[in-house]
Amino acid sequence: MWFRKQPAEQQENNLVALINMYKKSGDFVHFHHPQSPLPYWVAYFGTLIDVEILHRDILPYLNKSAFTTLEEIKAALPFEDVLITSDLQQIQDQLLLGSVLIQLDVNDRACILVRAEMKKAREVTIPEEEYSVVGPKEAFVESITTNLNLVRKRLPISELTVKEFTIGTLSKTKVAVLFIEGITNEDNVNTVCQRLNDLQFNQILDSSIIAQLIADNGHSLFPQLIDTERSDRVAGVLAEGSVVILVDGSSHALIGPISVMGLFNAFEDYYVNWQMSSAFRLIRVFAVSFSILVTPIYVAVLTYHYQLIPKDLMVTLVSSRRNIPLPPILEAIILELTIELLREAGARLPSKVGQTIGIVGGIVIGTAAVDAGLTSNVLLIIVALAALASFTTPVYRMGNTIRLLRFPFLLLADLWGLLGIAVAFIFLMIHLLRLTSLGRPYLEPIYPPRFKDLKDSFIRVPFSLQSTRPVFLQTKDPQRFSKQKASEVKDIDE
Amino acid sequence: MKKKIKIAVVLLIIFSSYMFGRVQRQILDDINMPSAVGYDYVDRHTFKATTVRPIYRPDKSVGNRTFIASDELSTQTFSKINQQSSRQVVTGKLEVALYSKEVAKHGIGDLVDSLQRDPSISERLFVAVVDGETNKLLKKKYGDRDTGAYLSMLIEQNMNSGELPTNNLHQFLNAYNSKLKDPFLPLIEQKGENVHLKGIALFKDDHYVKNLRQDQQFIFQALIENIKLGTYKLKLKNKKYAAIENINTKHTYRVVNLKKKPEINVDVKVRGIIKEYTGKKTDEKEIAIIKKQVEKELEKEATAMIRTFQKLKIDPIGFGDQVRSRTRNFRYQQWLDQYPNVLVRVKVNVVILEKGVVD
Repeated sequence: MWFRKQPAEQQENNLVALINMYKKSGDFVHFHHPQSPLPYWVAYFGTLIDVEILHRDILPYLNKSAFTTLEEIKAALPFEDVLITSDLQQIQDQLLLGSVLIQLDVNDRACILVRAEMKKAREVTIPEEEYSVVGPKEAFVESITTNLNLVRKRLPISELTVKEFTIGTLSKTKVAVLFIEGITNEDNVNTVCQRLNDLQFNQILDSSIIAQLIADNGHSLFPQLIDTERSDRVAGVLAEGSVVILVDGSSHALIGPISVMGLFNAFEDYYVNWQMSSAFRLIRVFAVSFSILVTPIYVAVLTYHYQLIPKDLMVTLVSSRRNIPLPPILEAIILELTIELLREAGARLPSKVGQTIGIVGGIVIGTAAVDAGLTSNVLLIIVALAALASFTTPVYRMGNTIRLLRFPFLLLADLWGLLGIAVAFIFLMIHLLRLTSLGRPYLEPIYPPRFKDLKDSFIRVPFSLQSTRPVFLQTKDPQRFSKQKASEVKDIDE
Repeated sequence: MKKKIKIAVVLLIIFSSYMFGRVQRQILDDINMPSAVGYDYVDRHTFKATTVRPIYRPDKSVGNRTFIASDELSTQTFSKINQQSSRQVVTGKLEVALYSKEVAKHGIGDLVDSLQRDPSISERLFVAVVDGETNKLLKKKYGDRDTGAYLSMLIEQNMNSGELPTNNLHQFLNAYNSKLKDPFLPLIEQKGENVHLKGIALFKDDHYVKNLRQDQQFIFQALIENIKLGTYKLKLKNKKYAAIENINTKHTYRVVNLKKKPEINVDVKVRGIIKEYTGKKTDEKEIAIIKKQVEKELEKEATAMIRTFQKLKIDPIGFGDQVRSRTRNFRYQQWLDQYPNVLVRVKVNVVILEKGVVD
């Protein structure tokens, strides 16, 4: 700004000029208090500070006795971070963050800055995206202090370190990197910190913007950082040795590095016993592959590979397609698009109207399309099941990825049949093999094979067998708990 | 610049694959999928092929439609049928291939070979010989399914319940191409509203030679494979009948004197339950009699059957393979010369496990 270039001698005047400039904003308050024992000047943004703090904790102390120096005022005020400064830049920043400026004389160079910002945040509510029936129901809110408080409460240890950054030339968003010293690999922390430091962006509105900006491969469909709104999940992965990024103004934390198996894990899995969570995880893996492959396989088989259809299924398939004028690919694309339209419309509309849309779309359009002879009812079932299956992924972004992945598979299935599906699958595998998350291989533990990490991937073995932290996080302290001590039986029998 | 070239190459690949990379489409409801084919004899060189294709109606009922064409070559008949059809004729859903006895007598090697050469035809296709015209058999609709499905279910069901030894295109070709074995096929016949299994047709190379007698079918099957869930009817001396069911059999081959003149000993173990008996009582004594009689009967049948095989110089059971697998430097010609005079001893051991719940 223009006043930065001014020589130091004119600073005195510039503070006046700054205040005069701020006075152009209607919510800037600047007044003189001549009646008190010592007259003083106060300036602040009325919309940024908590007026109650000003009236209760600042003004009464100023009016009590006569101060002669700023130091005396600082000693008298009941705040821990009272600042005496004459640095214009600092004054400017602090005023915009919600500080109250106090001057003994309007032409003084130095002033006192007292933080009295208004702390408005939503109440901590139950998670909506990652709702779980069992387990704690505590979701992050849009305030970073509340979120940090939620995490700290679950990890009351001195090793939990928070590194703060301010990112965004316009938004000045506070970003915090959380990790546990002595557990988390420093390489991971350094990677995150360096990428955050290097960020050149004007506005950080949400953590998902950070996730896109610091992703290893920004063009990939796959999320390379998991975002979660559950404070228990954040505490859990911190203890495993991951790095967590919290962003002010965002109700989602980012977790990294991750492997692809992390996308199939709901945190609820740790709250039910291991047999059930293993079964659920296997169902999710099945659901994802089903969701990607089933429509392309339908198209490929009906277009090229009639030999593969068992003779008992033939009656159902052929008679349902008898009156349909469209080739299987068009039939499939029409239905897939319908489902996507329904999802998109449901997401855009207010929740009450959204339900109606679901009914209209699901029942009316579905039945009408079959009755009109545009699609076969077999495909209708398949597409609906595939859409349903894509919603089983615990990470919401993953579901979107899967639904989008279906379309290249569909087109290649139409082009070359099952061979096309194989080609698409090979491309997908190549992409996943090359993908990294904060420099760690994405497809771990499948490739590179880390058999130890299989204990918490497709299945979840009981906690007694999970005495080590995941290998791919390369933790400093791989031991989670002492297996030997845990296996000692101390119960008194009989 | 490099990026632009990359994008251009990708676009070119996509474009050219869509323009030129197309495989012929065979959309399920736009093709004519015959489910059964039958061959009838016309003269020495030509034959008549009948195909049946199912018609799937939107109300989920199934109809039949037959196409007929005559030619010297099997593949040509299909293209002639294609000329009659409004939809492209494809062979991938063939379930059954039938040959009339006349065709079978003149040799079906080339016809079956053409089935094998078509990659879209399943190796598990059922092949059968029809007593009578296949055309007549295929024109009729049986049951609620199309004729091809009906016939394949008929044959498969009987194989699973132990009425027929397992046999399909693959096994037929295996026996046909082997120097030692001779193929056999199920023999079916149309009788009124139904098709029924008449027996087993024996082949020498690819020529039909003889039917297997119905009463020899059980021991024939027991010598080829381990029967599960078989049934056997026994006629006792005093005009009484006994039915043995749930039969499990197990055979063990032993070959002695391999060097000079091989002799084959076969032990057949038969374990079953007496389900029906027209006599008064089934006590220990009676069961011992039944057991003895079954053993005697089966041994007699086996010996007679093997005798006929040796007289006809055919080997559908595969004794040759048993000997070959036990001989170093096996000489085919020597064995084929020896075969009619090889001694085959069949010893049957019957175990009656139960005699029913009553008494």
